[in-house]
Amino acid sequence: MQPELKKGTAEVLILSLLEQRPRHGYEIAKLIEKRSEGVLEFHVASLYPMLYRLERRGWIEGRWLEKAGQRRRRFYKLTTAGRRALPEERKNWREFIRAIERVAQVGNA
Amino acid sequence: MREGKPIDWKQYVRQRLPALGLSGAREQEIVEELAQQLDGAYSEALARGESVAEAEGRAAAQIPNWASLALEIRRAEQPLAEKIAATVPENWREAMREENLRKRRGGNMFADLFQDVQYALRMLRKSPGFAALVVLTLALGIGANSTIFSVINGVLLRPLPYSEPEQLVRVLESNPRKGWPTFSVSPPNFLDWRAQAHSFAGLAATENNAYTYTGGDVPERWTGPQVTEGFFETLRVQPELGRLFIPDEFQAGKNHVVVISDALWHSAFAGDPAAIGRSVSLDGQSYTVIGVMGPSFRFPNPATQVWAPLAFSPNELQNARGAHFLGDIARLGPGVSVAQAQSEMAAIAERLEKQYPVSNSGWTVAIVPLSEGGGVAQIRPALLVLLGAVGFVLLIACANAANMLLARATVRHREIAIRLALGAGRARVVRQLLTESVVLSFAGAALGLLIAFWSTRVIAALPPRFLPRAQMVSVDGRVLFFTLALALVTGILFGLAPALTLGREDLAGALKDGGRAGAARGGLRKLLVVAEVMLAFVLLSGAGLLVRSFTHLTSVDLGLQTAGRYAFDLSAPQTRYPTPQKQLEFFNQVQQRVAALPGVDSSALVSLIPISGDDEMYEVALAGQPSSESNPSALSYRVTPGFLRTMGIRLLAGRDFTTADDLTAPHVCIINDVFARAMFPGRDPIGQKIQFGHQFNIVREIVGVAGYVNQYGPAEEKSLQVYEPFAQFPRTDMSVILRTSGSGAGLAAAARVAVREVDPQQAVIGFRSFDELVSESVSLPRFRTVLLGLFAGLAALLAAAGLYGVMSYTVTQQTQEIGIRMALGAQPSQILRLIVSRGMGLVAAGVALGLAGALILTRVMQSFTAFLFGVKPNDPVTLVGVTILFALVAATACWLPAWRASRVDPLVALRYE
Repeated sequence: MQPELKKGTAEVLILSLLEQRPRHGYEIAKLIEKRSEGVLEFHVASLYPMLYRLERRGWIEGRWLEKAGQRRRRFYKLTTAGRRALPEERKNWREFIRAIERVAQVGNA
Repeated sequence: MREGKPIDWKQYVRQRLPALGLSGAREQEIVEELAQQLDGAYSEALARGESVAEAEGRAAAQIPNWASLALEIRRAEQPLAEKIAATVPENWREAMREENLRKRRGGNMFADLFQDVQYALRMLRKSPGFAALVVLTLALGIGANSTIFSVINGVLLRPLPYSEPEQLVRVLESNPRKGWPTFSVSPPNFLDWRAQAHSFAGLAATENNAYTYTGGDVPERWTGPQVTEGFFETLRVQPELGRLFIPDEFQAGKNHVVVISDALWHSAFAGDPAAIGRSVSLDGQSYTVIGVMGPSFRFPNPATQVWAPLAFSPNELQNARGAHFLGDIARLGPGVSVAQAQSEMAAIAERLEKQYPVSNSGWTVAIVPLSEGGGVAQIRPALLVLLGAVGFVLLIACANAANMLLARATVRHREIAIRLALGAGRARVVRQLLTESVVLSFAGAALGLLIAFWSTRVIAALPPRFLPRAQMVSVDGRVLFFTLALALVTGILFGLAPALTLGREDLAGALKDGGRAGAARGGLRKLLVVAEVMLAFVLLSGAGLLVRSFTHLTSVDLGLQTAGRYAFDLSAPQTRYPTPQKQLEFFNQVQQRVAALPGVDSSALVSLIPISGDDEMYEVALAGQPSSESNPSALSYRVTPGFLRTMGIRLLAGRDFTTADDLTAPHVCIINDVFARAMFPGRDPIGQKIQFGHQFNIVREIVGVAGYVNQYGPAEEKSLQVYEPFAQFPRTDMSVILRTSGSGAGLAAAARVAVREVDPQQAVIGFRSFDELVSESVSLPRFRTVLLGLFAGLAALLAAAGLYGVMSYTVTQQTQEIGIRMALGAQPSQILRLIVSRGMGLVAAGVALGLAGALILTRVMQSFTAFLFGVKPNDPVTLVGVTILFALVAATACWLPAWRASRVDPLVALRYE
């Protein structure tokens, strides 16, 4: 359950970040770190496999883009399927968290 | 940015990242992307003012464990691993959704069902290819069943379109002594029955008739019965327009009124209500149209166009007790059973037999429910065999569908294990899986109904000689219900085994296993294939026997030539041609004109067309012997000279008729060889004298012996035949035969012109080729042969598909084994042989069982009359042929996956998980 939990978190996070605009891997890693105020620092070792998995699933799509004077970078954008899946993912996630909370409280009482 | 020692991060990554086993280009991409990540961290650290060494440390810390990263990437990139990984969070979601739904709906049965169906639809949407394949397989099976059930429903089950149809019967004469179970009725007997019987609420006779109508552009033939009083009342039908006959109109002289069919009303009067009261010229006499029937009323047969009152002549009433030509219809009185009516009528017949021994001895009465008439009794066994056949097809389709579900179980079992782990009951999971299969079978049924809709439309258009009551065949409520019930049973049947195996899923094992579970499932799949092969083999054997029977049937020597021969019917109505001499002249003129038509090599007249299935039979006796019930009967043909030559009938001895054999010459006749052998064994029949039924007192001298000619079709018993000169026995209805060496195109039109030149009032009726006549005579055997062949072919195809599926699956399972064998030096041809022989083992088991089944089932088939012709049920040619055919089809189905396996790269195969 532990790895699944982590995986679920990261997926929602990645999808949410890509919702606004396409980003490359390094940017995503930085943003997660920044937005969670350092609490959710996770390793590149988890990020890239996650990106590849999401890409295989068809939720995100990576493309090499070259900007003037810079080396090419792989930008990931949310696909239609990913965009469609996101609200459900968020909702499930919230439900899951709530369930965990309930269980945790019962354990306390 | 401060200058640092430039580091090639790609090189750095490449040195540390273990091989991913992906395509080169993809590996490069990943390396590049990871390098950028490290470079980013490094550059950022430098930018913050950290030292090069510190920055390098930051970058290195990004990836603490290269081996585990490589593993993670490999899992993400490899589709199979991805699929299994993806099902896990997906199933968390499904499970949670399900829990919520249950809470909201309060967990009652319908809510559960609804939810199961929803879930099933979701699962199927996820694998549309699989769903489409299963639905198509089931649609073929269910469609075939719905079609045959529609036919059985229309022909055997559906009530006739009359009020209280179960009361309607035909009361027919019967002469068991002569082997005639039912026979036409003579007018005096009919009137005695009607006067004496109490079993019936109504009893009316019909006499078939046809008229030449001369009111239109060209003379037309109208057919329909003359009917006695009470006919419409017995059937309880009312006219759509106008009125029916009043009692007065059944008296001679007042009976020139007709009621017409809806179809005729539209074709001849354009549906004009003013047709009522219109006067029409039939056979040159004036009749008044008084009524139009509704479109569904076509009694006694679908071709009926017109009804007229029947008034018996005094001669018919006094002397015609032995003349059987009436049909009839009766309605049983309230509460009277067929058996009760039968016993009353038997008693009446017995009284009449004593009263009129000459005409009535040996005659009794047979009561036949109307629903059994018109060839329905003959077609029943064929339909039941076909129902059995489509049942087999559906079973095979079920086995295939079950096989596909089992194959999918490999993918599904992890999902199921998770559901079980989350606390779903096993019964609940089995129910869910069954719901999925039932949803699939309902989709198949929907598609199958479309097939049935289409095919019943084709069948409903078949002529009645092909299939009686064909017009009653359609997809109605009963067929819908049958199909739905069938879909439900089918869904449970093919879903049960996979559902039970999956529901028994071992939780721990399933979660560990990467998808190679289920040796038990493999065994079940093989069993299903053996069953499929067996069923298909039985069907193919049955179809093979029918095909062989049919080829025997069509290669029977009919005793005449059909190529280039045509025939049409022609009348010389008494009203226009009152004397035999005039009738003779009319027909001879027509024949001469037809013979002179371009392309016509020869022509002749005949009173009864050979192989038409019609008959005209009279008793025969040696000259001087009295008329007797024990005398044999012979078919009667009145012909013109040259008829035998025109038809290609062999003249075995003596001479043909000549123009000298006319009214003034001594009466002569030609008999067939069957007659000669029966009546003159060991003697020369030429010069012998006989007496013949239609004018028994006249003694005829035999002048020739002809070869036997088929009258009813190839499967008939051989009957006695007598030819007489038309010139010595003229009549009002004849057929014209022509032979052409050309194509026959335009011949009908030319014949019409020729007839019109002689008498513009007479119509050319039913112009047809002898090839058509022969083809019609075997229409019932062809009907069942074609349909059974079609279903057997379908069954074989489905079984081959099933075999192919199992072989493909097995080969996939054995990829690793194959890889090892090939790595150890096995040749592709050896692998091929190995795989094919494993598949053929299954086929051999199926064929062995099928052979046993075929021997039993074809014996059943033989017990139906006239099903097999010229072959025994254990016909070795058929069984060996079907076995070889099956072996070839099965070998192909095994060979394809085996061939693919033999081309596997050993390295890939070894790595295959």
